[in-house]
Amino acid sequence: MKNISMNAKYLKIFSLIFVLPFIIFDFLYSWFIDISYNKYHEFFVSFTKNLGPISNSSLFSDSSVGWCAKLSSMPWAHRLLGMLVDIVSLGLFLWGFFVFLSLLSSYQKGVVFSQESFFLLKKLSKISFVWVLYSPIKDTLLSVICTLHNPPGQRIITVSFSSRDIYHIFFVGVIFVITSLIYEGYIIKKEQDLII
Amino acid sequence: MKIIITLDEVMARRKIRLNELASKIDITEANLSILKTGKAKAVRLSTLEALCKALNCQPGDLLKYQEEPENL
Repeated sequence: MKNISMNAKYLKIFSLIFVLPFIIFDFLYSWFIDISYNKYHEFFVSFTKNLGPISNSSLFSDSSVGWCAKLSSMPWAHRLLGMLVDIVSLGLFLWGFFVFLSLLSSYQKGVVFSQESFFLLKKLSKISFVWVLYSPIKDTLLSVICTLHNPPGQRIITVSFSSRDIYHIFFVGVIFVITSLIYEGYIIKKEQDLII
Repeated sequence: MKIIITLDEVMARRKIRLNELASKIDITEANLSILKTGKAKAVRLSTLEALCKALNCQPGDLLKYQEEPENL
């Protein structure tokens, strides 16, 4: 039990110091600091130039990866719309993150197989499921929003389902399995508590 | 089939209070209350032994079997 409390404590500290600021910084960096995209754009162009004939393929085309490259050229309305789409994903992530923090707090207190931790894990698995489902939808919406200001013929809509989404689905599945395990543990604990 | 715990009857006969008994047999008042109100699912032999020792009685004095009426 002491081990769980210690692990929960360290993970909580790590999450608060590194994960939370990184996630928020990443969002602000994406939508407010134009230079990031310019740098990324330059890197991408130099990378594709070195590839020679392959660089003309759709896989390495400038638009498939760098469709948000020119953030400064985006009208504010489009930028706000893009932020709104992105903020839903961020909100879902932060909601799940704070649910996870409360779960860690209960583990820190030594409460593992309780109704509270089961409900928190159940909530976390549902939030992650919605977050994972929203991810490809967000990418599609962002591809439209970020290229909406382009002249006709250069507007893009991408529908993608990448290996990243497969990993996310796998991890959500793991969370669901852990939730059912915690539930079984909770039932056993409840019964154990009635053995005097 | 129903097993009834008659701990409260024995406690009343011995004129001993819950907190007193709990401290004597070294279990929490909450757990003893679960036992007294009949919410317990099982009783450990060690608990039964401690109860018998503290109340100076036999296990049969604490447990009673009552047959439930058959459904018609």
